[in-house]
Amino acid sequence: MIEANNICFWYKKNLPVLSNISFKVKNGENVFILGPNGTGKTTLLKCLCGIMRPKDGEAYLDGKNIGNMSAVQRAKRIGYVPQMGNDVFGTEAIDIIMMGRSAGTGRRLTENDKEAVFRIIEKMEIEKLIYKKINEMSGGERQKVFIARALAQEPDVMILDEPTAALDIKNQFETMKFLTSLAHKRNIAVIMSAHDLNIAALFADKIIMLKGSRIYKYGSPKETITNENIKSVYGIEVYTEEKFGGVQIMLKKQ
Amino acid sequence: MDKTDIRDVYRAREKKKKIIVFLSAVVLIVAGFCFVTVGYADINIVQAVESVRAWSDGSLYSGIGENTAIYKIILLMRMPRIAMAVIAGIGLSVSGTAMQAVTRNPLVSPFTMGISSAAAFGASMCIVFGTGVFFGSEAGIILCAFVTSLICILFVYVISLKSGMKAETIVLTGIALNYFFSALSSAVEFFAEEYKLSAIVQWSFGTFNGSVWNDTAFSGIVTLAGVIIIASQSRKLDIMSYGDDELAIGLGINPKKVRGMVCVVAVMITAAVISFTGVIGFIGLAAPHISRMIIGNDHRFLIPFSAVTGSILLMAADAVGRTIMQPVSIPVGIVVSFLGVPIFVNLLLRERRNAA
Repeated sequence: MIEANNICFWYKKNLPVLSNISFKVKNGENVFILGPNGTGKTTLLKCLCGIMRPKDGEAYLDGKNIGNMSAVQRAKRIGYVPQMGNDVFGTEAIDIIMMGRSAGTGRRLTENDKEAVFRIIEKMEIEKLIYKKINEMSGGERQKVFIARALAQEPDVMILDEPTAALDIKNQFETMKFLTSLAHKRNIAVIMSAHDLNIAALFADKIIMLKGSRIYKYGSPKETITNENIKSVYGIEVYTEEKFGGVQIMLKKQ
Repeated sequence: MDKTDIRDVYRAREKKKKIIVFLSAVVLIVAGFCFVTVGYADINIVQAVESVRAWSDGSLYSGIGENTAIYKIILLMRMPRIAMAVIAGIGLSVSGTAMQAVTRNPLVSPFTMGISSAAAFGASMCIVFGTGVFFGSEAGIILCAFVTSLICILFVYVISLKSGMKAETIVLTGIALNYFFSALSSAVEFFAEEYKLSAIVQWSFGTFNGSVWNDTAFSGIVTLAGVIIIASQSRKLDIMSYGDDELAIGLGINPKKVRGMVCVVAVMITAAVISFTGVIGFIGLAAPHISRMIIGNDHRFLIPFSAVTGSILLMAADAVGRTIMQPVSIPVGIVVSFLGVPIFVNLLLRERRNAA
C-alpha cells in the first residue's frame, strides 16, 4: 500500500503547488489523478515515487517512509513512467526494457533477468517492436515500451504520468485495459494522472480530483465524476450519464 | 516471432556485437604493426614483428645483428608514436562517448569543457614566460598544459556543483571557460615574440612527433584507469543517455553523482593525452557517433568499439600525415579532420537513408 500523508509542496512559500494531500492506495487498485493543468498532478506523482521530496508531510510505501529509502530500494519497488521525453541517441526498445532489470544497481544482467524481460515482452505482445529505435516509434508504441520497462522492475507500485497523452483512442483503450488488468491480476497499486475524464470514469477504481493544490474529491468514478464537481474543478458545463456500467461525460455547447 | 525467436534473436545480436568488438580489436593490432612500416625509413612488417621479439628476448641491447639500427627506429621512434596514437584514440573517444551520454548531448566532445583552451593557455604561458632548465623544456610545457587543464576541471566541477550538476550547466560552464582560456591565450600570444608565437601555433596543431615511451606510459596509465572507471558505469550511462534525470532517479541512479564523476574522469583522460600531443579535435566528437551508428547505444559494446574506432582513425591519420608530403610530417590534428569528416558525413547520410 502506498500512502500520502499531508504532502505539501511549493517552489515559492506563498504559492503552494500541493497542500495537505492525504490518501491511501491499496495493492490491486487503479487510481486516477485528475485536475486542470497546473494543479500539481505531476509534482504529486514525483513526490510519491521519491523523485521530489515533499516540503512537508511524507509518502509511505507499506509503512516505510519513501523519502528515507535509498534510490535502489525505491527503484526495486516503484516503477515510474514519466511523460514522453526525447531520446537523442536512438536507443533500441530492447535495451530500454532491459534497463528496468538493472535498476539502480548497474550490475550485469543474468540469464534470469533476461528471461523476465522476454516474458514481459511476450505478455505485452510487443515482440515486433523490440529492435526498433525508440525515436522511430509512434506514441503508442513508445508508451508500451516504457510500461514494459517499468514492469521489468517488478514493482509493487506503478506510477504513470499521463500514459495516454499521445495516443489515439484505440491505443488509449488498450493501454488502459492493460494497466487495469495489471493492477487487478498482479495485485499492483497503479496510480496515474490523466486528462481524459471518460477514460478515467471507465477504468478507475478510484479518482483523486485536484483543485487549486488540494484534493477536491476522492472516491469512486460515480462519486467524483459529476456535473457539479466537473463544473467546480474545470469550470465547464458537462452532461454526465450512467451508461455501459460506468459514467459517460459529454460536453455541452457553452 | 514465436517464443524461442526473441530469445534467439537477442542472443544472436549480442554475439554479433561481441564478435564486432573482438574483430575490431584484432584489426587495431594488425593495423598497428602495418602503420609501423609507414615512414621515411623503409621497414617491413616482418622487421616490425622481429623487433618486438628482439626486445623481448634482450638481443636488441647486445647490439649484435645487422638489423639493430632498424629495430631501434621501430622500437624507439615508430612504436611510441603508434602507442601514443592508440592511447590518444582510446582516451579521446571514450571521453567523448561518456560525456555525450551524461549530458545527453550529441554535440559534446571532451573539448566542450574548455580543456583544450586551458591546456593551450598553460602551454603558451610556458613557451612565452618559461625560463630555466625545466620550464624552458618540453617537460615544462607538458606540465603547465596539464596543470591548467586540471584547474579548468576544478572550475567546471565547482561551478556545476553549485548549480546542481545539471547537464546544461556543465556544458555552458565548459563553453564559457573555453572562451575565458582562449582569451587568456590570446593575451599571452599578443605579447609573445615571433619565434615563440610560432612554437605556440605548432603546439596547438596536435601531433605525435617526438612521442617517447615515458610520455606514452604516463598517458597510458591515466587513460587505462579512466577507461576502466567509465566502462564500469556502462549500465548507468545507458540510462542517462536515454532519459532525463527524473527517469534516472526513478531507476535508482543518482544522476548528479554519476555525471560529476564521469565528467571529471573524462576530462582527466583528455588532459593526460593533450598535454603531450597538443589539441587533436574532432575525434572525441566523431568516433562515438561513428561507433554508435555501427554498434548501437549499449555502452558495454559502444565504449570498447569507440576506443578502437578512435585509435584506428588516429593511426591512419598519422600515417597519412607522415607520408603524404614526405619528408614533411603534417600534424595529425589537421589530417584527422580531413579523413574523419567524409567518413562521418557518409555514415550519417547512410543512416538517415536507412531510417527513411
